[in-house]
Amino acid sequence: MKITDEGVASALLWLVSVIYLAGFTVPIAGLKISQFPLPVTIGAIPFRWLFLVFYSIALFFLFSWVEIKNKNILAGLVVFFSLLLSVLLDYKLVIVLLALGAYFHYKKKPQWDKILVILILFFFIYIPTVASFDQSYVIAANPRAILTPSWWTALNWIKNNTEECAVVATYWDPGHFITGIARRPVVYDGGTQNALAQFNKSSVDLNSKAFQDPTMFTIEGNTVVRSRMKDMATTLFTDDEELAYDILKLYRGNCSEMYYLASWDLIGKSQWWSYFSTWEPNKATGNKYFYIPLQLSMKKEGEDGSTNYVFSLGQNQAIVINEKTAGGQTIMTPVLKQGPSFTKISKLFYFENGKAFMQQYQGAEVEGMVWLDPSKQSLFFIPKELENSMFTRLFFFQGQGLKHFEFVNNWGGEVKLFKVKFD
Amino acid sequence: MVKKKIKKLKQLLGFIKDEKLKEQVEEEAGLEKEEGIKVEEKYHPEKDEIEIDITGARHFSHVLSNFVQKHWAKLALLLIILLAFYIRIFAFNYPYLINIDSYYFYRYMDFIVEDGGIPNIDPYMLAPEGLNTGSIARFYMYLGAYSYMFFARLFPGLQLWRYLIYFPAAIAALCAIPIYFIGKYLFDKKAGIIAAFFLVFNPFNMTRTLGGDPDSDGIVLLMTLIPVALFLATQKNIEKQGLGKRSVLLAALTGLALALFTHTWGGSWYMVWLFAGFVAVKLIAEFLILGDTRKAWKQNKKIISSFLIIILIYILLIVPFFGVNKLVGIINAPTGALGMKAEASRRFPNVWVSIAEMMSPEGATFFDKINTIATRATGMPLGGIATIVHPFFLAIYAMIYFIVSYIKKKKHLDSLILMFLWFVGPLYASTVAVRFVILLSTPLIVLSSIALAKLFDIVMGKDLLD
Repeated sequence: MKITDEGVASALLWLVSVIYLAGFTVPIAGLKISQFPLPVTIGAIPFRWLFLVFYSIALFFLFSWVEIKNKNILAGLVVFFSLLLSVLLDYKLVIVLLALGAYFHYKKKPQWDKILVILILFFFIYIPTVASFDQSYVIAANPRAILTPSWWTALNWIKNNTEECAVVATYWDPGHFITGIARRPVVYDGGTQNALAQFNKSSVDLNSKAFQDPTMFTIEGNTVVRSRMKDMATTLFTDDEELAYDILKLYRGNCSEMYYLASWDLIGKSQWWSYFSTWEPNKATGNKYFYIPLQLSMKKEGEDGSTNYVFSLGQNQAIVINEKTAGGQTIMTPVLKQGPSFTKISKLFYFENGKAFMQQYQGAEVEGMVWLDPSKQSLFFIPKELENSMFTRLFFFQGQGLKHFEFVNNWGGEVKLFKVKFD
Repeated sequence: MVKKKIKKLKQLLGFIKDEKLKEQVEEEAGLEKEEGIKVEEKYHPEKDEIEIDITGARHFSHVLSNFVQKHWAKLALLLIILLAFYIRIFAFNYPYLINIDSYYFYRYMDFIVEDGGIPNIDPYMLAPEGLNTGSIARFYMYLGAYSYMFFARLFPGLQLWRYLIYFPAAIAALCAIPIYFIGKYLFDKKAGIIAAFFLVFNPFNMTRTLGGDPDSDGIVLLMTLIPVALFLATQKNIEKQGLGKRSVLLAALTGLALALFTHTWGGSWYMVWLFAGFVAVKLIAEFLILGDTRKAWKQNKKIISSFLIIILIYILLIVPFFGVNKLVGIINAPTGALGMKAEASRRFPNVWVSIAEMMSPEGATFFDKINTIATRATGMPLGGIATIVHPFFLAIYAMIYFIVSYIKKKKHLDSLILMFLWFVGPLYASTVAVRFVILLSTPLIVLSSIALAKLFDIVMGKDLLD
């Protein structure tokens, strides 16, 4: 490769841009020059030093290259030491100017047309480099774990406190976590979401509730075929505990123990587990139902001494919880505000002085339930289709009143474990 | 030896008529000291010129300069690999692996480390009967497990999960090597280096190849690139030397790499289609250009033969493990992949409709969808002045360059066909489901790197269409 002045200058600019992007804010975006954001060390050596040495070597190679053509090491040394000082003294932008200055120094009679072309080339290389390197650096500097401390603790608890053969049933997402960390079998996971389950006809009870809905199984000779997805979705969506129980029995195997996990992430996935549970082959579709999480937007004192907690749903729409005290008793009323009109919501679940209360309102026009967080900072609106679902009862009500699901433990309000109690 | 060279130099100086130049050369060569001098000369018969390269060994920087000149691409590649590795691990600060699928691979690697292999039935998956592991792709698991066992000997006490912080970062950093060769074979070293840089620092790839996340994305990327690099090496070698021993060896290695890819990832079928498509399109294109089937056949006989070697090796390494059905699966795969989300005519629901990565790209219009794809693939949205330097458009410039270069100078037909197929196929698939963007990002990077390298050449005064 023939080395030209322009080549050297371009390579210099490119290299400078890479160094710039490696640790500094983007000048093209007009951001302020920040501190070198690489405080992490390797052993006892700060990363910034390693980085500096790394690129100093690269620059040295480059300037050795310059020397061949021009015998003018001065330009190289000027840039090299200015870079060193700039990084150490945190005057990052100076390096770009010095790099250009050095170019003009050693090229005593600059050809401006070529310089313009070089700058255009620089622009072409610099922009994609900004987009690529800068974003990558941000991603690498802040690795986000999907596995949370609550999950980690829960899975290790399961590993240490349950029978080795115990199946842990839940939706597919945490399947690999359960098999990898807790080392317990699962019904399905991220690699087998669409897998079917096959049972010998003689080994199952065709009179159980698990076989009442014909869309949930097919019989091929001596084999009963079921969808693991539809089965697990149904254990979350159904309001019939016996149906959920009968389905889970199919996957228990010979183990005396079986567990069920209800986790926070399944709130957002309700649209899918409700969809798969209600999916019908002749329609090739199902119904999606959502939990609606809302944050407190405003707390307003009323003229009658009551307090209104406003949870905005969007423009001119909100769920308002009216709280007032009468005769030493707290009365809470949930309403849906739509513009100027207010309509009552049929159920409210809330906490007062550490106790849980369920309030029902006769003649309410909006069906569904409001589940108010003890801090009154957030709530969930639960549509009537999900109100009595197994997931609601397990996750929001810790399995209260259920016969076959015994609450075992709760990790950070994120992961709740239940033991399936067999007859 | 030195004396002999000095004698030769003195002889050569006789050719230099310009006295000032002669003095300069003598001074630079340090002839008065007659030691530590290295003289290299090269005669250019076409110009009737002798090029003299004199480097005084006492000038360390001269030696270094020569070294850098000679090995700049390797050095740049090494720097890129080291930085790519380091950037992926320096901020890792968790007491466990970070991603869901990481634990799938971790568990299988653990099986291999602890029990010497993968059990026929995985007792943890698909309760209660367990999963038959016969059809799972296991090359990555063995690679991870055996490399761990190697490093565990060097660093006693190294735990598998800790090793898996570094392993995916190393795999991702190594991707720089095959993509460098792809860029080099398709255009030049500069394109290779730029492609290596863009690939390892591509935000989309970065997200999926961070330290502590030994999911298969990194190895899939690496195993995608190696067969392409070897395939191009085969074609280049055939161009230069015909179908000799070296070409046959390279073709066999391509088949081996392709088979290993299938032993790594179920979606590897598209690479078989890419190579088959390249050969078929090249044959058709040359038939249309030459207007003579026999001539087109004759011209491509060696390429077709090399392709047959690749496929033969591939079949030999696939069928014994997965059976003939695997080959049938590869043939049917394109229709199957695009129909993955279908719900009609099914007995049970299709989970793929709920997977975020299987969704169609967001956007009301076709161009909005393209914007979503381009943004995901590069981390850079289309729009504004920067659009003209967006890698997506750079890729299009490169394609235009290939087309014009072929029309005007009959060059780059192979590059045009291969890159067109490699780019357009995944682009179409990405409009169906965003997960296929991972297949698109690599050709996009290769093409945009070629565009930048070409631009560099134009700035340096090279021919526009060379």
